[in-house]
Amino acid sequence: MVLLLLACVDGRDPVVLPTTFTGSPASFALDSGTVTLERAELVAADLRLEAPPVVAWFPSLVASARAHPGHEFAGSVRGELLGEWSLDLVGGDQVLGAGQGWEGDVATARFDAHGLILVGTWSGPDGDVPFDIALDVDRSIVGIDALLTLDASRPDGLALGVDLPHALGFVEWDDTDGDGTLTEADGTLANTVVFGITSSTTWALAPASETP
Amino acid sequence: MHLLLALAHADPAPAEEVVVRQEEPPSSAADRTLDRQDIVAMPGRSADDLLRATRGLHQSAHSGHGKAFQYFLRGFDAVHGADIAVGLEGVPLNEPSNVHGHGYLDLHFLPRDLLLGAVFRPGVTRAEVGDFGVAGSGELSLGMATEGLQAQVGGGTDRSGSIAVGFRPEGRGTGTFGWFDAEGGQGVGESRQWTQVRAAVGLDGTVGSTDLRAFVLAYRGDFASPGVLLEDDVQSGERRFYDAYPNSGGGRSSRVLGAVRADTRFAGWTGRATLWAGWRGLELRQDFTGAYDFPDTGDATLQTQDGVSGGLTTRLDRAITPAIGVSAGLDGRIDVLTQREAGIDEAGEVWDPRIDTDVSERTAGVWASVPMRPASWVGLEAGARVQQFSIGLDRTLDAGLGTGKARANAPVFAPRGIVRVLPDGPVTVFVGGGRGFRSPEARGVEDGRAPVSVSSGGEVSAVLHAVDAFELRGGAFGTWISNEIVFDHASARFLTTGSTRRLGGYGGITVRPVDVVQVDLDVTATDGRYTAGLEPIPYAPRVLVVGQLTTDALVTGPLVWTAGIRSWWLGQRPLPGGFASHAAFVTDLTARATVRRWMLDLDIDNVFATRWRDGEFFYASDWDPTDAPVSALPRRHFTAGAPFALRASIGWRI
Repeated sequence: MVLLLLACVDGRDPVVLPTTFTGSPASFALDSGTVTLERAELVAADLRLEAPPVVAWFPSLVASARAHPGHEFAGSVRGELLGEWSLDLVGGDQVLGAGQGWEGDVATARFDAHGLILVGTWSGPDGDVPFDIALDVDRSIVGIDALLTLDASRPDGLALGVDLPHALGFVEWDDTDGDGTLTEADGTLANTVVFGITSSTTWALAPASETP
Repeated sequence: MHLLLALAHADPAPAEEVVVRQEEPPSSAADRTLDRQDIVAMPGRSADDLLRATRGLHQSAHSGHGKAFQYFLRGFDAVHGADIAVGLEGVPLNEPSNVHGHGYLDLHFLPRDLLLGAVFRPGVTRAEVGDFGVAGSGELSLGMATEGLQAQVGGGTDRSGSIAVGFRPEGRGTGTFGWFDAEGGQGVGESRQWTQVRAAVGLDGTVGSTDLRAFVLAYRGDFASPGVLLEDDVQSGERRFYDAYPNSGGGRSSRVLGAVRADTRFAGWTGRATLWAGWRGLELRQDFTGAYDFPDTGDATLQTQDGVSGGLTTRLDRAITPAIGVSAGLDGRIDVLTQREAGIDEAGEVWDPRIDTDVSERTAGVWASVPMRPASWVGLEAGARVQQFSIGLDRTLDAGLGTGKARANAPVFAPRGIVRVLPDGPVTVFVGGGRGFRSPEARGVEDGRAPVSVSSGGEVSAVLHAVDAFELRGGAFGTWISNEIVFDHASARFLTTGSTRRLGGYGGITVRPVDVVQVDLDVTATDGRYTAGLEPIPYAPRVLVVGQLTTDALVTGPLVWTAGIRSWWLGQRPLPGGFASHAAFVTDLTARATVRRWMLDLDIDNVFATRWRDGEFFYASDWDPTDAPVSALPRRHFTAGAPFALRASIGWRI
């Protein structure tokens, strides 16, 4: 019995990860005003789920690394969905595809963000100001909250969500060039939009079964 | 010292002699001593395969026929020899600070036909065991068993061929011989071709009360390596099981080793001194991740080493009284190495030089042991070894981490002992323990004191051997390492990875149902874990079951038969990242028939042609650079285990 227990090692089974994206409401109030979005799109790519940190036994009990199979770190990636999508940040459920992964705990998620388009109206104390923002974000959004467990015996999907009120809460809506339209050329607007949209807390990944 | 027993043989052809060494008493129930007959009856093509006779040892080949195996013993992933000390006639064979792996243990340079005997000892309880004696140790003896001229030619279904010629003058000892062999083949599948050429000469004789012997071994091997395959690629049919990716690697290995040994007796003492020197060349090309790290050039690396080594081992033994003896030894070695490592492109051209290092190591050790027999029912052996390492490093380039010279010192003290209860009885109980150690790897040292990996282990075991035809053995062992020390290639520094413990047990039975047939069954189970978090130690086997059926030289008229069939079953192994390997079951067979002056050998690898995975690894890789984006998901890679292959050879003896 002891031999059998020792000889059978729990491994990880593969899991399939159907993944959807759900946008934010198109209109929401911030402390300094109200945002009404007509169009909000982000080109995103390569969603990856990352496991919690492991104990520090890597690189393993070996005298030299890299030049040997298995000395490569198994990696922190527990699942991934490769591809590129244009996320409608104010749309309904959008199917991104079916990712692949391994059973186990997930701590965070990340993906690459590219082009961002925000079109709408900012209603502040001084009235309505239209905005038309196009940015090349070109950076990875890392550390997205994704506390979940992948279990092959209980298949579940993933739901990626965005919190635009949080993301745009950082923005300084200031028409510095006075042309009557807020664009990426206005003061710190571009920086604050990128800061907000790439903030890890703007995004959340949860099991589809736990997402309303 | 040697007792030569010639087999009863009706034919006038030269008989193969069985050399039985004057055996030292065993350290535990797991010790195993092989004579020439055992070696002939053990399946396997090379001297390296012989290490499988170590109880609890599993070995894996992941880079072609010519690179050192990877060894696993009692919960240790000894990589290429870092935790198993093996010697040949007193010459230490592990290569400290080898560019590919500390303690690199490559026995391909040894002609298997020249191995007369072997002793393998899991665990470390004897004071004489030196560097790399952490999980176990072994000692091989060299010589030619048969007098006269012998020639052999053969071929195999693995598209291989071999030729061997050996000569031992009539009337001379087994240590006087000349030997040459060459083999080569394409192998089964892709990227598995190899050639090996070996030559050896030996001389032995007696001057007064001193037995002298000298030998020189020379070897050159070239080999391709199939590397790893992605499990997904095989399952999808994109690759076949024995395929290889382009530029999967290979290597070149050269070695010359010479030694002079003197055994003498004076004033009640027996003494042995072995002076040895050798040259080593090694070149390895490998790529286990495709183009994952470097999409433009690929991840292939080139490692080269060129070095000379030399040393002296001495030993003195004396019985002080009938109940007390003393054994002591002094040994030392010097290694001077030049090592390089670089990234290479598909054409094999260096594009990223990473390491260019000169290493000089000086090691000296002294040990002493006091065997005692205070009563007829008990024997004791208490001893210790003190070792000092002095390691110099001239690092001219190391991954951009700076240049500089360093010399480090590393002392270690290793007490060891064995108690044998009823050593001559039908049941013998062994209690042993001690510290094992592994020297620091040169590329990680800095000025000052360098850390030595030290293990503490103990074992209790027993052997029941009431009758010659039956032996039952079993035991339990534990090894603790307070702080695992590894050399991290990426940072070129030592890392400590926390404490580990390995607990295990073994059992075995040997039965001789008839006089010439022996059946052995051994089971070894080990649970190795990091004490913090109890994570399993990756790669280390947890259960290994080995069964073997062998015959002695069976004489039927003019025909003398020897045969052996060996099966092993390896349970699942834990892999990094919480993954697990598959179990594996493999059977190998060997048979030899001698008729008068003719000799026919038959070897079958993997009798049942199972497709087994020798090594399994989880990590991200990229074998198709045109693919984008590149997956970062760890995926199962494997190295294909030895396929079915039948080799036959015919030999002639004068």
